[in-house]
Amino acid sequence: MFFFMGGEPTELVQGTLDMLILKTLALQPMHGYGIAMRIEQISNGVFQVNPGSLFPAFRRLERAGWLDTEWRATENNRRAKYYILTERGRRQLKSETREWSRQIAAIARILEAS
Amino acid sequence: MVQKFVRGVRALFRRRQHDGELDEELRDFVEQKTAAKMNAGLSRTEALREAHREMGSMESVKENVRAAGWETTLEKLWQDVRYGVRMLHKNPGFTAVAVLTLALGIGANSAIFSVVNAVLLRPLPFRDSGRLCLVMESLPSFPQLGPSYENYQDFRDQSKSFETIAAEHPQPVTMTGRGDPQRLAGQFVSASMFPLLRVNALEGHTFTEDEDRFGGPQVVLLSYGFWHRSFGGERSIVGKNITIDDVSYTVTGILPPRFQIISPADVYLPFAPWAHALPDDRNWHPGINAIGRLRDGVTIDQARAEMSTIAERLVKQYPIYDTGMGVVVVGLQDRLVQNVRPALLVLLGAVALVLLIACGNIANLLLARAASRHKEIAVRAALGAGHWRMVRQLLTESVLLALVGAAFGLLLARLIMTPLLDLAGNTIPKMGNIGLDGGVLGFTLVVALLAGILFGLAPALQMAKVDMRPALSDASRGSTAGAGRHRMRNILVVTEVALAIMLLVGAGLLIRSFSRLQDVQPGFQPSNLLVVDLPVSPKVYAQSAQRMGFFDQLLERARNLPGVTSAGGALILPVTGSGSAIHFNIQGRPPKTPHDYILVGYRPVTPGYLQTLRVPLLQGRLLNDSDTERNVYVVVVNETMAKQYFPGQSALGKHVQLGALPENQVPWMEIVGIVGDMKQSLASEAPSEMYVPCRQADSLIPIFTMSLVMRTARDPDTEVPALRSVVKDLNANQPLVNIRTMQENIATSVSDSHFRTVLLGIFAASALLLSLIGLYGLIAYSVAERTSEIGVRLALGAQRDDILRMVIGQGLKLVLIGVVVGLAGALALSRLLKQFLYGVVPNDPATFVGVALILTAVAVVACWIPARRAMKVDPMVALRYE
Repeated sequence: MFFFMGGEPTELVQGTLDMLILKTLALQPMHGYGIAMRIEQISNGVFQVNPGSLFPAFRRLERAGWLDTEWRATENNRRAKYYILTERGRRQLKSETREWSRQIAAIARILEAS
Repeated sequence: MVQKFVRGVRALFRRRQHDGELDEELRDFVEQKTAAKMNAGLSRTEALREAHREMGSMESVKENVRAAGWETTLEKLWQDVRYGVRMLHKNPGFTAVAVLTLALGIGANSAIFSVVNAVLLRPLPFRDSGRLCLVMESLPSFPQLGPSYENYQDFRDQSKSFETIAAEHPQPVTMTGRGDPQRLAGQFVSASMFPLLRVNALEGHTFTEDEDRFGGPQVVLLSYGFWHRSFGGERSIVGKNITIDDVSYTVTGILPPRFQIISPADVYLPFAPWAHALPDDRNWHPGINAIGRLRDGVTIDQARAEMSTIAERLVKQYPIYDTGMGVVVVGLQDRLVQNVRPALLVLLGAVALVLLIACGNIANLLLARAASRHKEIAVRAALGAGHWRMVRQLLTESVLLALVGAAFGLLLARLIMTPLLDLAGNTIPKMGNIGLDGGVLGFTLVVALLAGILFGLAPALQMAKVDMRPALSDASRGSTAGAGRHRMRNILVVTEVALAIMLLVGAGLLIRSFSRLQDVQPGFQPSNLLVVDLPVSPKVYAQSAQRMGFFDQLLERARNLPGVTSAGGALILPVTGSGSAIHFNIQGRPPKTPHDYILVGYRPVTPGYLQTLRVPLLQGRLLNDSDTERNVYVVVVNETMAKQYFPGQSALGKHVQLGALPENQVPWMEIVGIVGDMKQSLASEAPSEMYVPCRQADSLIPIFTMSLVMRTARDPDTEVPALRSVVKDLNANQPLVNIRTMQENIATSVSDSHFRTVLLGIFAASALLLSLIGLYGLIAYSVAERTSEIGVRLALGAQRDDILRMVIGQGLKLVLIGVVVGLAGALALSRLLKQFLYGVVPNDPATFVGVALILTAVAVVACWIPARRAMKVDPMVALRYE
């Protein structure tokens, strides 16, 4: 039923983008552009988020039930699709963060050991 | 998961809305990005361009978003299917050939599988039928036989493993009083059988315990089929009376459709009254089928252990009767199908091989077509179709092809079902309906999918691996196209040839075996013999004198018919595969231990019977009219018996007696003649037999059925009306059962061998044809591809004969590899046929060599046709074309 689709390489390690999106939305609901900007700003421009990966990630997270969507008016009074973190998304973020820290710590230990 | 699914389905139906939202979202994204750039000081045009550049293709983003949901896979599949249909439609020639080949291959598989499904796989139509077992005795001389009545009762009463053990005995009966007397399949069934099988009457009720006892009411149950055939399904028949074997029985019930116990029957009568008439002898095995249902929680092994204990106890209790007796417990269904299972599995395997060869051919066609589709594929690749996407597309096409083939295959299976079952005759137990039911449809679907992937995968991988540059430029000519593709086509053809060889060897062995069987001398002259079974009413002919008088009169009248040269009768005919064996002892040689019991084929015959069959008399005399119960008791024995029991001496003048132990009140019978052996079954050695004059035999064991044999001057069938009128004159109520010629009788005895031989022969022939087509296609294609090369060779001075040799050599090399591989495979597999072979060993050299030679010879012809075309290549035309 499911086939491997191929697709372009993502700038981020697969899965990291999902985590960053969830983290960004943990503060407040945001629209697509806002999320991209925020990730770029906070990472001091280290991560350039391409819409080619961003929007599929939204769709994926939405399907997983971690995000909800809502059309709202923006600050300059235009209609935009806002992404909202669900309760399940919050839990997911927590567990992913924990897992991530564990891996980072392990990698750091390996690097220091040498 | 469920949520994902629901959202996916919703997305599938709200595609437009979703796309619209996505468009808007993306536009908004670009807009904001542009605004940000303008804030940084760019002009609007520049900002817009920058924003678009950073974003990349909008379409590609959308495509990626869609791909994030599973429903897109469905959409792509649908696209592939539509594209596949267009491609198949555009190549009607290819499609027709492939669909036809597949229809034949899949249809044959479906047909054979429907038999396998109905006979081997589908459980018996009883609730929890897996708990039903057949309980049998084993004796030193018979590994498995139905229990004697006394032992059956003890098994039933003593065992705790079974809910109960019910009994059944099949016996033909005659119904009179409704037009012509009708011969019916009857069964005596214990009342416990119906609750045991969990079967209720459709109308009325099944037997009660009170009805199943000696002296109880005379009652009968009708089968559903018989009820419809003879009484038009009229419910009012319940409670009315019908006459069976000249006794009036009350119909108490109708059984549900398709109900049968082991073998089909028209009427069911209570068991106890029948069993009451049996001799009081534990050693008397009248043919009782004992069926038990395992109690809940009891395994069949536990039941076996318990039954063995019971058997040991019985042997101790009745040492004279039950010597060496054991109990065999087998699953009812296993036992019913054990004779047909190996043959059906071999046929299923064979037909699967045929389909495999068909798949090989289609894979070859696809590979050949790959060349012409090179450009199409390259264009698609250039437009961005990924490798896997393309493989999927091509696979979808071949699965589609297989499904269409399967649809036609099912039609074909429907058409061949009737002839197939006719050919099978009674070699397949008719359990329930054999037909194209859900199971067969499912099997066909799975086979089609597998076949589609099987023949489609290799070509798809090959094609999708295209390097697009040479393919797109016009310079790409076949000459360099894919060495891998050529290798694969060669492997396919070699495999096909090898598979065909294996099937041909199998068929060859069976055919040789069958022809050996046909050559077997039955020991008498079977031509011009008319045969009919005459079961007489045990009521009307209750006295021995009445029965024997009837047979005497009948024989006399038959002999006086103008077209009849002689006539006789026997209880059991030769070459029927059945028989009755009886204990006997030899005067002066009583058995030393209870294990010394000896058995002989017991053949009551009328005077004139052996003469009518023209059995050669070796010593002494044949039986004559004076050998009656009032004279000295005599027997004629066959050669095997004379040699077995009287080696190195003449059997003439010796005395034998029926019964395991000498008994004073049983008459001694003098051996007065020795005749040649007659086969009881063509495939086995003649058993020892003794022919007892029927009047003397009837005084020992009553004879209620006789097969009349008449030797006719002309075609036996022309005497049928005369035979009918003779019998009718003597007794209008006497049924004539199964009028046939002796040769038909013999043919019936080998019908199972005939069935598998014909089928395997057909499969092997199809395999041969398919593999030759494959070979021809390969060579023809390669000649077409090499036209310019051949032109160059000719231009450089090659002789046309060289070209011919080169092309045939190319094909022959593949064929020979295939033959060697196939022979090796056949050597390994032919053991499976061992049990079907008569007079031929599984690795019969003649068959192996013969098959190899035949296949190579026809393969050369298949190569020769395209080779001739290669020879006629005009170098000028070939080179100019380049």
